Amino acid sequence: MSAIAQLRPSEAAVRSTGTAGRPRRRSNGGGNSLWAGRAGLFLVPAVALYGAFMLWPIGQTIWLSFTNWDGITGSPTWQGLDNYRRLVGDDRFLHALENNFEWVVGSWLAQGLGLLVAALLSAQWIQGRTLFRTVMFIPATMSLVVVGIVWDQIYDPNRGLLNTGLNGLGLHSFDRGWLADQHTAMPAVIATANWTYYGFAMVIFLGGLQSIDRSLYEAAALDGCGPLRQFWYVAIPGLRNQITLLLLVSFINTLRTFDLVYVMTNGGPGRSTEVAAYYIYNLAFVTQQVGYGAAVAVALTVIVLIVTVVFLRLRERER
Amino acid sequence: MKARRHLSRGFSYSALLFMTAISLVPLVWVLMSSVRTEADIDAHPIGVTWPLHFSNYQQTWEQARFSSYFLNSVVVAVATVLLVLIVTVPAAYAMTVVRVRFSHAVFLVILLGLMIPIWSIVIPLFYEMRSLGLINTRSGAVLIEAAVGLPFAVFMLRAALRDLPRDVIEAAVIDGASHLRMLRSVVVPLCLPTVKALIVFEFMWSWNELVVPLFFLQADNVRTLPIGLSFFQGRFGADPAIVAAGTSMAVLPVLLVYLLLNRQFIDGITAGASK
Repeated sequence: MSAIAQLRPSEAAVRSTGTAGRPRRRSNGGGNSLWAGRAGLFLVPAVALYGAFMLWPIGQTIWLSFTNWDGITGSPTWQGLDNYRRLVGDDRFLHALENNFEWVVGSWLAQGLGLLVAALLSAQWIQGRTLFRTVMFIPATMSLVVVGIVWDQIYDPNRGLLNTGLNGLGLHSFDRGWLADQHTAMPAVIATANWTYYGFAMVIFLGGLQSIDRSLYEAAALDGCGPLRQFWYVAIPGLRNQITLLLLVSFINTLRTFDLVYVMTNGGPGRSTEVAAYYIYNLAFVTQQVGYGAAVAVALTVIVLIVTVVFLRLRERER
Repeated sequence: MKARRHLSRGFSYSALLFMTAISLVPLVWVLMSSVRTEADIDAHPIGVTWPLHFSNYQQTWEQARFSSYFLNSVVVAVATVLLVLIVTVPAAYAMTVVRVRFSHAVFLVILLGLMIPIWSIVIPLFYEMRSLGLINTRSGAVLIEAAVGLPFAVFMLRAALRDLPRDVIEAAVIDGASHLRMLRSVVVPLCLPTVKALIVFEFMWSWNELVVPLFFLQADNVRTLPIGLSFFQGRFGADPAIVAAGTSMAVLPVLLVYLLLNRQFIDGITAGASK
């Protein structure tokens, strides 16, 4: 009824002439309110779906994080800040977060590799650019469950591709149970993740490189810059948006990562590959500490939100 | 000078071919293993054995219920894509073209969903869906996956609709087009590339989703491929040939969709990145 579209002046003029010829069922001032008013209904399904299956459960999780519910008996009892006090001193949570951050840093290797490949592919004389790009992006389209199972087979100590290949090259001393060794399990999982990441980074960087004005390179070349310096002074600044985007996306995705650990290692050996999401899963659905699991989930969400806000602030300041 | 150029081009191509090989070798190896027997793989992990052993696929499809997992994956992914589009296209229109009240606030709240880890909704949802009787129903999983996929669709559609030429919309308004007419005849045709990209992305995400089916599709008759595959790995883990056949079957449909629509994939990603 009172919904008045916040139109720019010119549009408002056009719209009021547009509705003027039609019979007005409701008259409440603005000639375009009728036009806008019903469109409000278009928001309802989206808001209802999002509210019921995203916002409402988030609220519930926050509430559960103040209780000690086990998920089975009766109803949750209010515990105040107990869960959060426990969280601060929880070494297992800190260790899981450390693994997450190791993963974040490890994923930078994939971004770098993606940038390198994109730089090679953006050379004007390259033949078959689309084919290279299409093939290298294939791993990024695959389900992480599938990727995890495939790489689990690759790392198999007896009949896996990796050990067979190493032995074939005469490198017997490197042969090992990659996922069963405390020291190699985490790097092996991160390498698997990177296998799916670098194609994505390559596509983003290639799109960015192709939109950089050629004349900038020519100007740099006239100033005596070789290929490497052209890349550093022209391409890298031109890719600033893509770089921040990839860093942000990989941060968010890596902090909430779960699938590969679930499929490949279950957090082991020991807890050497346990990440925060796997710890939450373990608390809420394996050891039935639903209240505390909810508190860890809230903490993880807050960390992701803080990282995002900091990133976006920095990016705005740079502009 | 010329020799140096040949050398650097040769280096570039070798590096690219090396990276292409790294992307492909694991897949080729699995495809090869999927048509061998366990004994062959144990004897020589890398290689091809003649004649090809296609019965692995038959065994996977029939005994390991892959026909059922496959069907469930198709149903859930298609329904999720449809629900997301039906809900987000009108919403993005109302927010961006009409600019109804609270558009910006609603947009910001929905955008928050892009950052929320699924773990902050799964715990209470599990108990709620159980009491609603929606656990182990495909529609329950579709509702959750659509809600999770909704923020990205709103984000992409809003960006696309903002770029629509204003005079086309104004002309339609002057012609007295209703909102539904406007959606059907103006908005959807003009942002078709974005809609196509969304179909591809939302389909792929739903097809590949693990966490939602892990909690909400636990019964064997409603499992989707990824979750079926992860249970399957536990059961048949000892036979790498059977696992390879199951894995290949889960990969091929997405691979096919990707190869057919890879323009939409790449354009969608690069467009999203520049916004």
